[in-house]
Amino acid sequence: MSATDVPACPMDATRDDRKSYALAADRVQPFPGARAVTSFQGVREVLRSGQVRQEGPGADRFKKGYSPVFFQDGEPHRQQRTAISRFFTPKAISTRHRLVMERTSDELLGQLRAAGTARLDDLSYQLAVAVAAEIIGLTNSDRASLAKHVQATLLGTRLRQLSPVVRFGAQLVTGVHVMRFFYGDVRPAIKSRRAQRHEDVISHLIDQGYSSQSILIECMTYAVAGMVTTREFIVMAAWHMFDNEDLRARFVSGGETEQVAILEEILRLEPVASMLHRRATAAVDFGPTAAKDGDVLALNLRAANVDPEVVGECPHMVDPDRAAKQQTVGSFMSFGDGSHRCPGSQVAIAETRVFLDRLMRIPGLKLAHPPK
Amino acid sequence: MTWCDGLMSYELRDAVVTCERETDGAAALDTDAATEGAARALPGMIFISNWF
Repeated sequence: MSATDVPACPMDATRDDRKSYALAADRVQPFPGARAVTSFQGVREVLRSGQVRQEGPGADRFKKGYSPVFFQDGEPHRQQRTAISRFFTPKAISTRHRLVMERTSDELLGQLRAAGTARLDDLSYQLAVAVAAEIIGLTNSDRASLAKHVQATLLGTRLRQLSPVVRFGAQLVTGVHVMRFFYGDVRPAIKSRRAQRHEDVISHLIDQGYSSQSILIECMTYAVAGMVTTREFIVMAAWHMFDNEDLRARFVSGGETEQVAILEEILRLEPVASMLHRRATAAVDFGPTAAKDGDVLALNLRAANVDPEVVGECPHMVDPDRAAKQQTVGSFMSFGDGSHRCPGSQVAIAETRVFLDRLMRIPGLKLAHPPK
Repeated sequence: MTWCDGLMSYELRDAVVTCERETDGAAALDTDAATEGAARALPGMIFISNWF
């Protein structure tokens, strides 16, 4: 949907609070040959369908034998998701993860107050790494090293932008980074948990008979999903509050429910994950979208999140009351939907809330430089 | 393309926040010591970060 298709906003027809729209439009494109789905209803129908499977380079690699949870579908995926859901429940958050969120936030913000300045993405990344590491079970190595190792493996996500010669070299370097992550962080965690299980993902995978290599792949998946995306969202949410004094004041004075509503509304406009791909496994009519067997669909979560049919008037404006007015879930499509909906969504919102609640109360806090 | 294409639609870097610096003596001393330590380790840091 283009901006011109959106009904006029009665408050300010030109108002558009999105900060990442242009960047996302430039960075994220449908896979070649994929058909875009942009309506909220269409995206939801596809994601909830049992007639599609995960699509994307890498999906074919795991057709036989072990498959990471990201690429699983059907009953094996349902079983795995059910088994790991206990690590992400509200109870797990309130009884275990919240302590890590609060302790790490206090530590990081103590450093900020002592120095008088800090890079926000450094702080948010250290927090996200600490929380995700606790859930995954990557707790047998130094957090700063772990953060560096995970960040270094992300070079592998940028290989397609490189020329073939450079790409080959980058693949070798990425391999070294992955080895450092494995030997420095994953292997010590596996060894420790083979001796004594913990309440975390790695212990669960050991019980399931996963090999060390398979656990490594799962760890890389969780690392990107849990550490890197949350780092970005925390910076984005803070940026919105620095630019909107009323929003910041409302966040600071609000209770937990109010704060969550504000964060979910920001995330609606600025979803970190903005496009998912699915391949139809049969001819199927998804309501607004019909697909033949084998069709690849590019599901535009950003477009779905500003679909005025579902989000109401002024779709490009931050309105923390929107979900209540529309009587729906505030994050809309930001965490996906259906069987692959982000399992850590509540963890991400909770750690962002805990951190920003403390950050925004620091005396004299200012955004000296906006993010690049 | 990679499995996580589309998962990261933006990356925000170098946002700097500032606040009133705590004037606690111990905190200031720790920070100064950390700065001196970092300066001594800088050549090694550069080497390592180039490796990454």
